[in-house]
Amino acid sequence: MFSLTSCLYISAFLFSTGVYGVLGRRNILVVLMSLELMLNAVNLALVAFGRAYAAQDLAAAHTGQIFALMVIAVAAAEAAVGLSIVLLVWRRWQSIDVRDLCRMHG
Amino acid sequence: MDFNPSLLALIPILPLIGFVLNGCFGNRMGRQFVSIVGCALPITSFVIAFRAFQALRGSESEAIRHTLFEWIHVGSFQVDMAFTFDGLSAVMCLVVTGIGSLIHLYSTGYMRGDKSYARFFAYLNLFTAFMLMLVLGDNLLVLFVGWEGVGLCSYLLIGFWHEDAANCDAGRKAFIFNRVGDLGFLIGVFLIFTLFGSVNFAEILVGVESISDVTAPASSLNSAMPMWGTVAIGTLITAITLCLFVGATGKSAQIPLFPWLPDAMAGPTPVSALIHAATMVTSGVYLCCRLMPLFSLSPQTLGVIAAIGACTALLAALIALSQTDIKKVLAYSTVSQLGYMFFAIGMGAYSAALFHVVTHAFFKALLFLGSGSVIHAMHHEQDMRKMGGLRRQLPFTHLIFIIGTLAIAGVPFFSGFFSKDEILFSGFFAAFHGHDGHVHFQDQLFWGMATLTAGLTAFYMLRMVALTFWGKSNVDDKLVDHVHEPGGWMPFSLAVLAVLSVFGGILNVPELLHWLPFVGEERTFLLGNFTGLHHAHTGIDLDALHKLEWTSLIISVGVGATGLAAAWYLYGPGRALLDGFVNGAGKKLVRISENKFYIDEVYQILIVTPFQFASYVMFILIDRFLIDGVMVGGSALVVRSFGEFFRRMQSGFVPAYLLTFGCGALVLLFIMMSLLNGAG
Amino acid sequence: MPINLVSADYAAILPAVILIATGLAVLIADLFVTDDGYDNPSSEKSHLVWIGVCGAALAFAALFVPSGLLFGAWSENGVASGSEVVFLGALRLDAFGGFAAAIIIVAAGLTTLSSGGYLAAQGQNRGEFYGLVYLGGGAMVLLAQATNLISIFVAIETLSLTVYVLAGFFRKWKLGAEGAAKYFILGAFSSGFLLLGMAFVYGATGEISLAALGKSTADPYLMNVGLLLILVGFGFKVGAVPFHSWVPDAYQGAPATAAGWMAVAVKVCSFAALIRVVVAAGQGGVADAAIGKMLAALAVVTMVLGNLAALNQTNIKRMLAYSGIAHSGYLLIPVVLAFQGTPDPKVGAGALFYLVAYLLMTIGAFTVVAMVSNGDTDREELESYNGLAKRQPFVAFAMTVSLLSLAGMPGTVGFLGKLTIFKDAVYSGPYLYLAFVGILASLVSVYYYLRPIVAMYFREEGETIEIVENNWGVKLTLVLTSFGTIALFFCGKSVHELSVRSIQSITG
Repeated sequence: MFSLTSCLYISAFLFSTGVYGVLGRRNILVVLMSLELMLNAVNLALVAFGRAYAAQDLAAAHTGQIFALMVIAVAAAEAAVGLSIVLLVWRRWQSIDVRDLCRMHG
Repeated sequence: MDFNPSLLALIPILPLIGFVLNGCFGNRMGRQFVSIVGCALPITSFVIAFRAFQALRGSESEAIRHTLFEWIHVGSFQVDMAFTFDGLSAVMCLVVTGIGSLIHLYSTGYMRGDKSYARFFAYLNLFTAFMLMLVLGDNLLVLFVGWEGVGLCSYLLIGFWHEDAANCDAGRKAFIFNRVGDLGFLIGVFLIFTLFGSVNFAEILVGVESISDVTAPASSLNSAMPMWGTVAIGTLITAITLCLFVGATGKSAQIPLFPWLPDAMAGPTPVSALIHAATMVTSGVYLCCRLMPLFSLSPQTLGVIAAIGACTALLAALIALSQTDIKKVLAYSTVSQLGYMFFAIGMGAYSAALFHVVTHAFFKALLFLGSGSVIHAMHHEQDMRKMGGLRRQLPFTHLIFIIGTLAIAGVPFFSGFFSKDEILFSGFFAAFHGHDGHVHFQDQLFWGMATLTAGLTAFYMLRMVALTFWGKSNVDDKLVDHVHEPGGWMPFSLAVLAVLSVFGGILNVPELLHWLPFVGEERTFLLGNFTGLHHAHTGIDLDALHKLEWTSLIISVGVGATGLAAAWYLYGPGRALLDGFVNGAGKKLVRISENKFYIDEVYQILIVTPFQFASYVMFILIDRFLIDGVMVGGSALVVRSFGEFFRRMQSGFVPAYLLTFGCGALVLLFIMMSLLNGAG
Repeated sequence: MPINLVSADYAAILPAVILIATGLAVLIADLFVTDDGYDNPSSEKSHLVWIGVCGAALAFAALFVPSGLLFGAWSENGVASGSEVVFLGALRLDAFGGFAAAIIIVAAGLTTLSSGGYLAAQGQNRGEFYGLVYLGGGAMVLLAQATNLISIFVAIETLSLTVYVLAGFFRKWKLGAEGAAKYFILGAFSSGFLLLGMAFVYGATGEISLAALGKSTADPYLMNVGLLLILVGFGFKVGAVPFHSWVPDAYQGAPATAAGWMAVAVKVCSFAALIRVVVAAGQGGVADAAIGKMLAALAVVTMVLGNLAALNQTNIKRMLAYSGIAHSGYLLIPVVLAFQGTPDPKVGAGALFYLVAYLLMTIGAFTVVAMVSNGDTDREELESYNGLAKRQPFVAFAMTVSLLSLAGMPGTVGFLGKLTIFKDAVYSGPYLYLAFVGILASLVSVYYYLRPIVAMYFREEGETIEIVENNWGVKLTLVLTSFGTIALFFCGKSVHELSVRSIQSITG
């Protein structure tokens, strides 16, 4: 049932969706969600690799899972900071469209 | 008397310390500090030099030597930062520190109101340090450092009042003329090193001895002289001495490199007194005396030197006749007197040249400082036509001028009489007896020029006194009440120099006059014997010699007296006669003299204009077009437009930033994957 | 596997722990003291500055305690100290990490010193600033010591979060919010790539220690792609072109002293981790030689474009930001050489030494920017510097020293730093061209570094501008940075030797 390749394909699809969301969406909140999607895509890859190693080396398998847990924790912190920055942007700019943030350039 | 040789180094170092102190802290510490530092250190140098002089007289040795440190040591070429204090250096050293100190003291009064007081004393101290290095140097390179250093200080001090562009131009003119001479000097030094394998004076002189002594093996010469294999050593020595003489003409303002000196009068008057009369301009003479044995080996060079000296003396005296600027008269007089010194060297009378250096330093410094007092009193008016009748307001300065004039005119028993007489006699001897028993026409010609110059000198000097101090006053009404005698240390310096100008001749009294008071047989030719430069006339018995000497003496005194009398008459009772001549028959002659024989114009047409034209063409073609336009401007334009392009790329849009990032990452990934696929 | 914490473990994390404790202490102190106006954000709050500086001093001292990070390299006179793997391979106790930690700690201390008066003048002097500096500083020190992928990732994310907030610390500025948002979005984006790379490396080897990068049995495809993505992530952190877009905007929106802190400290720890990565990858693994070529390409593009884009800047913060990008380019040269590992493994030392120079000159320059701008964004333009030398000769002098050092003029430590890097490149053989490009680029850079100097000394001032003055902290910072910049030119040898010993502790 488990196949490393199929898991990696799903992971790649999710990562690409995240990248597309970050690049293409104007709403900062959606951009934040897309960023989370990228991280979670990698999490999927991490546990998939761990599952693949489980047969030969259990310690290696656990490493991948722990890595994924760490990433989840970090992503939570990142989301908190990200949301507060969005709040700040809204207060100063009355907009959460990333394209409006272009006063500094050149 | 014990003298620690290492003290020698202090002689130039002390004024150098003065330069550093005054240059760094002078402006903050105030005038009192500057005056004390600026004067005390040269005076201390004088005291040390005097102690060294006493020690040298008391000892048997020829010189005191001290090596400060090893300077350059490349292969067999070794030069030390070393100082030698022998008779010649001692005399120069005492003149530089002694007269230098007096002029420093004088400057405390003369420069009192100047806003760059500290800078002035810093430069003056620096000059003193370099000049002492020049006269104390143990080898040509140390001398050269001093030589260039005094040139630099001269440039800085001529343009001291740099707010006025004319002063800066004068400074630059001096610098450029000196550079021409320095080139000759440097070539001479290189040739000396090629020939003798050393630039040390002592070793050069050993080499010279081995050349003049044909029996000795030429071992002390540079054995590796392949490039000179076919060139006779005599020719080479002529070339060396001529090159060195070119250097001397630059520094000592001789034909053809003299026009900078009159312009150098743009500097403050104490500078003119110290640098452009008493010390720096005589360094060319010092160089010739220092290498006397080398110069003596080349009669051709001596002939050139005599010709140049005599011509310069006469030409400058003729120009001085018509000058109206009080300092310009003195400047041309200095050129003329320097011409005398070189004339003496050309005649082989080195001690006479050195003697004239010393006495000239006394009376010319006196005259310059006296003119400084006049200028000071007149609020920087230098035109003699706007003076006149100052005798009543400036009796002391008038006296100073009279003493100076009598000294320079060669009135018997003033200092100038002895030195000038010795020079004229050496010319007379060559002209009418001949060194080798033959009499040459050109020697007679040179002697005639020199004698004529003596009369002219007396004439223009008394003319200057007459225009300035006698007759009716032409002083501006606004100024007339403010004219006053100098104060502070200024009269002191003048008085000391006046005493020296009167009695300085006692230093080197000829044997002929040994019956004078304070002289005696054993004190004749004091200076010449002390410095080892004196050269007794040989091949003639004493009575004949004395007869010649008396003849020469009477002629020169007579010529001088004629000059004085003519000036006294023409600028006093016979003024109408003079005016008639100037406005009538002699109009053209006067104009030639007034225009300095058009020397500046000749230089302008022959050298400056073509040079400027060439420079301009090069400037337009190479500098403007090729470098500024194509290379600098073009590349700057390209770089800046690229910069602008990349600046514009930063659009400020977050999606654009992300796209840049993503594309960058993708490109790298693509390259990497294609590489891996290719390899796999 | 039992976990035994031994004294080496404690010694290894002592500096980071002290920094983090200092950060917490500052936050707490800011809460407690509420009387006599200390809660006022316009007050200078020198007690916070003092706590911070003392904490930094303590952390610095902790590097030199027996069995501390720098103890061996410092005391054993040329012999690389024994280094130890601690926390089960998460961190490493070695002089390399210690050297980077020292720079970060000094940067934290100087930033604290210079910030009090500046933040107070802007009315934004809140204790969180110092708290963020020290908490982030702790994470940076850990990053410099980190030797496995998890600890690297966590440290990078932690420090990034603090600097995102610092970038938007002036909440009243629109630009602050804009800069922070841009920085955050791009930073999180790059974290995704970094993490993907780490996942690939893990997938290729089944291990997360850096030593695994040199494993010869790894899958070369996954490994190389993973390594490349990790490099992209680090490229973002150090501001290498084309991952640099955030730098000018984030710096311009940030408080000037925070910009200095971001420029120096983030660069130091990122380069430290990057060098660890490339040294591990370069040791006989399956990593392709093309990685080195790509790094070299990044270095060239970064040096050239960073300097070119700085040429026409009129905002001095943006100018310094682009200059920071350019300096990342110079710093990439020793990274390339460290990956190649020839001609001798010590070449990475050039980066460490250059970072010391970069610390002094950049903090100095940004401190002056802080003084002049005095909290006003309009005073970051070049015209504000006109005639500064007449009013504030010392400030102008300190700025001149910093700028000349950034330009690499002899007489300043910046010259020695560039000399070391370019010399190594020249001797490397195949990467000679990096030195050539670097020298050309720094020639171009002289132009824009001289512009503020010309403005300060040769232009007449337009309007009289009050700057943050009579503030002891700012003055002390400028004295320290300009003195250090000049002094290290004359006696930088011992620092350079220490950097060589430090790099030996990871290359062997």
